[in-house]
Amino acid sequence: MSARTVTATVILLSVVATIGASAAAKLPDAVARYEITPCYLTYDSHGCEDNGPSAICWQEAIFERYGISHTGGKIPLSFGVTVHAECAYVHLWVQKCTKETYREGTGRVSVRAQCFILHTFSGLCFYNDCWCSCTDY
Amino acid sequence: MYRLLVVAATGLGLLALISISVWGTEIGLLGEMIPWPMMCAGITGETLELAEKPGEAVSCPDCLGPLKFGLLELGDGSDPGVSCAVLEPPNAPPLLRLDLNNNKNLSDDPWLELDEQVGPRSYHWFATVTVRFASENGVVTLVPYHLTVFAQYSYESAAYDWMYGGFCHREGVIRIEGVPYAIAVASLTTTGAYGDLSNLVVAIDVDRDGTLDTLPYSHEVFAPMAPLALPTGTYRVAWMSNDGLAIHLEREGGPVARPTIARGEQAPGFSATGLAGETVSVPGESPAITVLLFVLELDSAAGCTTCSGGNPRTRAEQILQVISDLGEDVRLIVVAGSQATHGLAEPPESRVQVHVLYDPAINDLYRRTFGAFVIDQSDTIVAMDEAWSTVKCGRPQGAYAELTPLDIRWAIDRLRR
Repeated sequence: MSARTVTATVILLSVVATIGASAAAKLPDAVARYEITPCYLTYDSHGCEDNGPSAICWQEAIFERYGISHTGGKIPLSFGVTVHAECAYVHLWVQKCTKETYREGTGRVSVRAQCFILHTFSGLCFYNDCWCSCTDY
Repeated sequence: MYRLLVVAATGLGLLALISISVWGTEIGLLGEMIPWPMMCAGITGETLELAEKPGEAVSCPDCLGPLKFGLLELGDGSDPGVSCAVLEPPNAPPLLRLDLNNNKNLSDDPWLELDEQVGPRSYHWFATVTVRFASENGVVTLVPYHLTVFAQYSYESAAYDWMYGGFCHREGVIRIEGVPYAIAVASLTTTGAYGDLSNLVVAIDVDRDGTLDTLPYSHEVFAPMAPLALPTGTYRVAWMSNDGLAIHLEREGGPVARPTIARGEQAPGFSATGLAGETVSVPGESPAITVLLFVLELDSAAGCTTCSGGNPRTRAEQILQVISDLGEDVRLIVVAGSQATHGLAEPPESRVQVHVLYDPAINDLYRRTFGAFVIDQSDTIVAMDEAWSTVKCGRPQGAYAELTPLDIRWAIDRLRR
C-alpha cells in the first residue's frame, strides 16, 4: 500500500469534514447542509504474475465518497480515482511496464490498471510501484 | 518509385550468411526472424485500442457483424501500422482478424485460430505480420514480425481488454576481426523497429560453440547499451537498421574477460568495502564457505510474486535464520541494490560472518541483481540459483530455479563434513 493510499485511509478514520462555504456551493442542497466524507479507500489489490507467455501486472482499487445527512443517510458524491501499475521483470536487468488509469464516478468508483511483458522465460516478476489515489472536487 | 525488398522469415537467408568488415566497422546481417523472444528478453506489450472504424484506410467488404477495429502501431511511422478486426460473441471466445500481409485489405485475411488459452476468459493469438519500413534513400522493406495479441475479459466493462506485443527476435551472422560469430538481437519495444539502440539486447556466440546461450545471466548476452566483450576486443552497437536486418559494431577497446558463472567454475573474485567499513573479498583472507546473495533494492511496498521468499530481503533473513548456528568458517555476503538495506543485519545470535555491500561493480561482474551462490573453501561455485530452459509447444520456455534456505544449508553441511 502506498503512502497516498495510507493517507486516504487515515483521512477516512480521522476526519469527517464539515464543508465550508466554497465547497457547499458545488454540492446538492441536501448535502450542503450536512457533512461529507473525503474519498476513502475500501479495496486495494496489486501484483504481478506469470500468465502463460506474459507477465501481467495490475493495480485495482475501490474508493468511496459520500455526503452524510443528519439521519446518517449516504448521498453519493462525485470524485475521480487514479491507479498506477508498475511491474518489474528481472532478466539480465530489470525491465518495467507501466499503466495508469483514471476514472471519474460518484459514490463508489472502482478502477483497474494493468500492463504486461511478453517473455519465454518465467523469471522473477516483481511489483514495485503500484499505487492508487483519489481526488475530491 | 519505391523498390520493394521482401524478406522471407524462413531459415537462414543468404543475407544472414554474408558479413563484411569495412573501415573498422563490423557489419552483421540478421536475415532470420525467430518467432519467440530471446530467452533473456521480455518485450513490453501495448494496449490495443478498439473503435467502430479502422484507424487507417483499410477495406473489409466482407466483414460482417458488430466488428471493432484496432491499429497495431508497427514500423517506423512511414505506415500507420497493421489493422485488425475483432468480434466479441457473447458466449464464445472472441475472434481476431489481422491484416497479415499489411495490404490494407482485411478481406483476404482469415479469422485466426486461437493459439493459447491462459485463463477461463484469457486468450492469446500468435501471428506473423508484415511491417513496412522506409530508409532515408527511399528504399522500402517489408519485414516479417511475429507478435501475439492477447484478450482478457473485463467484468468492469463487460468486454475484453485487448493488448498486443512483439514475440520475436532476429538472428544472423557477424564477422568480427575476420571471425564469423552467430548473433541475435531483440528489441524490447513492440514497434517492430530496431533503430533505438537503448532497447536492444544482443547475444553473440562468444565461445563459438555453435550455440547462442541466451538464458538470463549468460556470458553471451549483453544488456542494452552494455559493451560487447568478445575475445578480440570490446565493441559497442553503433547502428542498427530499423528493419532489424543489419547491425554495425564499432571497436571500443581491448578484450575484457567475461567469466562463465556456473556450478563447478571458479567464483569471480572481488574486493570491496562493506557498509560497516570492513574489507570484504572473494577469495577471503582465510578459507571459508561463502554464501553470496544478490538482492534488489525494494521498499516495503514491493514484492516478488515468483520468489520463494516473497521478496529478496525476506530471503536474506530466511537464509540467515537457517545458517546462523554455523561457525565463523561460514560467511554470508549480501550485495544489495542500494545502500538502504532496510535493517538487514547480523542477528544477535548468529555465529556466521555477515557482510552487507553496495557495489554495482560486483553486480556487473556477476551480471545480476538477484541470485544466490554457495562457494566452497577453494572458491568454486558448488550451488547457485540457475536459469534453465526446455522446449514446450514448439518453442523454448525457461524458468528460474532458486535455492531454498534448506538447499543452501545442505550444501554447506556437505562442505563442512
